[in-house]
Amino acid sequence: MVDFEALAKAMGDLDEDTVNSMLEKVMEEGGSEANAAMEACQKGMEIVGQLFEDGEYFVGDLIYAGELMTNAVDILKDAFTADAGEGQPAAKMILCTVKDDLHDIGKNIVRSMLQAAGFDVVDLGIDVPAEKIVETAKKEDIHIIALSGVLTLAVDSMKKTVDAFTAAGMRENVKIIIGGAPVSEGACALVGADEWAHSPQKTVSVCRAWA
Amino acid sequence: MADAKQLYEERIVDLVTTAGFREPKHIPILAGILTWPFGYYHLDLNELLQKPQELAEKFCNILDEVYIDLAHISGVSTPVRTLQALGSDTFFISDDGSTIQHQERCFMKPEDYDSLIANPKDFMLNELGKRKLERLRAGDEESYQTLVNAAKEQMVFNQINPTIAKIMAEKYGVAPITGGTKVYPPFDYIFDRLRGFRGTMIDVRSNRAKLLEATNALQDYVKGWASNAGAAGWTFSAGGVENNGYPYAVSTLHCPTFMRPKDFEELYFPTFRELIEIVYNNGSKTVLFCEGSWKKFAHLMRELPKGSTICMIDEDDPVEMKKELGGYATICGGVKLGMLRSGTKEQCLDEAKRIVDGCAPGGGFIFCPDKSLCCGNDVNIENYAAVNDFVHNYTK
Repeated sequence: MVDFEALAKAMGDLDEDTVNSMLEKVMEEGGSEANAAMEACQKGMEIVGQLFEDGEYFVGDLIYAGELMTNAVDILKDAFTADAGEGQPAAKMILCTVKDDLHDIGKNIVRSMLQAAGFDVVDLGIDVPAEKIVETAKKEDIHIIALSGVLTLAVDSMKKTVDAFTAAGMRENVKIIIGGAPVSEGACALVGADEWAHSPQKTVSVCRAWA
Repeated sequence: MADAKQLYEERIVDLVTTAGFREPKHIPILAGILTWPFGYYHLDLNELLQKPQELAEKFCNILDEVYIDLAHISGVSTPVRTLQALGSDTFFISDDGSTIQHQERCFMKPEDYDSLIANPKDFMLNELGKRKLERLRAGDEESYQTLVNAAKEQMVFNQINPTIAKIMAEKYGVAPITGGTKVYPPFDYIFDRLRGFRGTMIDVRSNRAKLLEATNALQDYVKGWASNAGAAGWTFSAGGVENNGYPYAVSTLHCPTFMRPKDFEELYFPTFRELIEIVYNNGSKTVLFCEGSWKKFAHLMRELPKGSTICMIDEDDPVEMKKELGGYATICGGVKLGMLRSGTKEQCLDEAKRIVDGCAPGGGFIFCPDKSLCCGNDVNIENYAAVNDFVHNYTK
């Protein structure tokens, strides 16, 4: 029997050995508690996000946390199939790095945090044109859009994306948050987004409020 | 306009004065201008890369629109066409036709650490080079032709930045702040060129001992570059100012902002400090681009020899950093690019005044935005020009 509070703490501490051995024990015991184990890992990711907000953890730690979560899913995934999920369907959202920007480290960190928070994240990847974002939102009935970028070029692409939603008559039905090094309150106003964030935790909080 | 040669010399005097922690006649205004002019003027960079003189002339037209005194790594930073000739896609020109970007490509695996540690140069040139560049694995004839093509592109590229520097100096009197000596902290070398961002950050926790050993093994490889500092100094004197190692060495510090302070102190700082001390003991200083936030490292920066560094501030508030490092390092700071782009002129001027009032007293201050200028829309040029004119003419 695995102590799930200890598992959450180990994930929050980024203790790879303890996390992996606990997850392997869950699987050795038949995997019936895989969902509970995943929830514990997600709680651990919240701890990680809060420690980043508090200035205890840094981007390097978030990257490592992302690796631990990916590994956790890998260990538990066969048991998820056997132990079908219950309760509320996850809120769906789009996440991507905008056109002309190929950076994805920050986006991938935020993706891990959003998934840990229960979102069904449609990650469109990098260098994504505005048309593709709008088309995907329309086709899959998605109303939360998170745009990422590192270069100042990305701010132009973010604006083009917001304009594309307006041109498609969809702007009133979506909420758009922008993130990355060049974003700010000023950039948010320039782009026409609803919110902006430099931290994964703020992104999760904002998207939760919109879901 | 004043005589360019006279301006050039006066600007170096102001730089050396402020870097010696005395108040200069004018606060030096520094800029790192990369591919911004090509975007601003809607020029095709790939075409211009084959015409160095024309490229340089068009690049320098931006100096008719914005006042600057000093230039930091200005021009085309990366030999994109050389790398393309070698078959590398790590650097490329964006769809806007002018901004050079890079994408992460990591060819070194964790199991390669022992090879790197045993013989860094051999591993990087003979093993990693072939992994990165497929065309060098194609057999002798094709590999040879690849190298010939790359060499031809590099010979053209080698004309570009010296031509830009010549026009900047002879037409506009703009002086470079650095002389080309590179200080490359070995931990950043691993981050930039070997294990990449993700790989290095994971190794900090999963492969810590090997990462530290590799950092120490690479130190001998990078030390030689730092040892060139101070070799070709500016020899004339004016206004009684003694040269303090100009032109200076340069270092762009990418990784530290992503690290926990205790990891930085243990893994990054010791070899970094040794390089700074080499330059300082050779009679020069190192210009550091302190990418991201460095306030958390201020206590360690105060352990470096006083006056050994010129710190270009990115995310931090320059006024706060002057309080932390005044008397230890010269601070380069100014209005952030974000404000220069989307703020009003009044906001930008108010911010410029706040920074100058907070940083200029006592010298040890150079006015400079937080980032180099890469993309066509990086700044509202009216804001940028207004801010630089204000600072140049501002006296209390």
